Amino acid sequence: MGTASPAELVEFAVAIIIAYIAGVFAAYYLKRRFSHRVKRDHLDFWIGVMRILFVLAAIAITFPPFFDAGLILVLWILIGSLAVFALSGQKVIANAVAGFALMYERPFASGDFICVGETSGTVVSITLFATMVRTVRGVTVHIPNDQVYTTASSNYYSNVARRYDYEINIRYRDDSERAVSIIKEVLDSFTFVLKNPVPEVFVSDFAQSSVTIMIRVWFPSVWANTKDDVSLMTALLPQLKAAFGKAGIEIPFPQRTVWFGNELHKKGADD
Amino acid sequence: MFGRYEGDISYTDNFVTINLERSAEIPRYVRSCCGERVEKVLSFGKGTIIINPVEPVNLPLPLTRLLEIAFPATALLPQSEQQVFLTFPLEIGVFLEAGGDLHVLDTFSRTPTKYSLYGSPGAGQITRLHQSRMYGKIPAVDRFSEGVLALTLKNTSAETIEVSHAVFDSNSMHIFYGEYVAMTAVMEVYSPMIARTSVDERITVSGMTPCIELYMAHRIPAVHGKGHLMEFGVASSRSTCPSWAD
Repeated sequence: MGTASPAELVEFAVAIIIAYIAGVFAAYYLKRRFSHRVKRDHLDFWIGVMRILFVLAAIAITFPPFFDAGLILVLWILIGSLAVFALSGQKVIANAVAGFALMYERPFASGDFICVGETSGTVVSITLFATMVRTVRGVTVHIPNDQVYTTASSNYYSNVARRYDYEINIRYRDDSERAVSIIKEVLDSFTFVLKNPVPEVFVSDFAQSSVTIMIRVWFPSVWANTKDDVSLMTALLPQLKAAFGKAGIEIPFPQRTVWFGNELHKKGADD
Repeated sequence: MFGRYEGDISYTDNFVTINLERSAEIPRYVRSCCGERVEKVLSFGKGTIIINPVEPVNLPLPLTRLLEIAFPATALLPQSEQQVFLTFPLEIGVFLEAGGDLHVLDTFSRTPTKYSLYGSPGAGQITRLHQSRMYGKIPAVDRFSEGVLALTLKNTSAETIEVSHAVFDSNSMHIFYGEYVAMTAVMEVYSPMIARTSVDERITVSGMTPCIELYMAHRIPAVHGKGHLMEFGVASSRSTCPSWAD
């Protein structure tokens, strides 16, 4: 069937080995040159692509001499691969396509804190078929790429700073200007509240039982790295409550004043 | 406090206490500062202890490697050059040198930390912010809280540019100590949006000792001499710095 001589087979094998070694050296060079500029998983992906191209180039160069022998084999491999893809179902292909799309568009990278549907956590890896996310509870969740790509996702690390909005209620009898001033002092003394953008603190609403004060502050994304903002709540809110307590400003409870149409008269008051 | 210690250490001031008794049964390094206490056991009590200022971007967390110094707005005339003196916050590093190895034993600071955002949330950078007065001569500072930065402002453009902050990369910081802690830096302003800052490896005042920086101790290969390119403006749009100057 084939016309490839032993020498041509050796040439083919040597070309593959040379391509492999060249790929190793090129990968080493690229890692040294770009590892501090490009995220690790992206770099690994493109190094993998480059090494495959090296091997394909070696095959392309040495393939013609034993074309007759290899043609049927290659055709069988292609047909077999297509059959495997077809049999394994549409989902696998969809996941692979979504994987390529994620690697190309890069909405997030390993190490980022993301939220996809009901799952939130740190991206461990992005492979061709799935994205691995480690939740804040230490559970690693395997999300098919198809699902990641078609579901609305949030990346909490894509910007270096994030804004948090909080509402604090005080009693009507408390001095709101003083409360605003106290909040600003607490924010100013708190290390992780960014000085710029300047925190915004203002009276935002007159509710049924309280005056609402809105707080808008910016934090470094890397520090405030969880969706439920635990770092922030445990660090900042107790300080605000303590400062209010020291100043005699209280957070009110809901209350309602009832007026009677026919007012009751105290006995003896009308006498 | 700053220097090399081959023997015991016993240092106390109003803010910091450092103790090391090498001849003790279990030699311990003990440091107290601002309500925080650190205690570490040193095997056999050997090695040299080095205490000196380090690049001030490590505490309380190494969130950034950039130090931003905000100062009163200064109008720089076209093609002009002016030297000013600013202050910068101090962080103090304690190193254990033994067998050719340099180990970071402790870092502490008496200066409270505040972070800021230089640029936009999408493309900007988190910085450790320090607000400084501006001086025409070397100011008197608390040697263990603040250092003195001799900053040469160069306007290389053809327009008058207002400058009110400078951002420095800690990977190319060179700090010296003597009577006071010092850095010498240059800020070349190319436009209202772009400037380059770099910290000089040499100090203009003789008799000062170069510090061991943390990036040296961690053996981080740093690119020296390139400095930091400020791409998001040289003047604050909002006032984050004091408006007074000496």
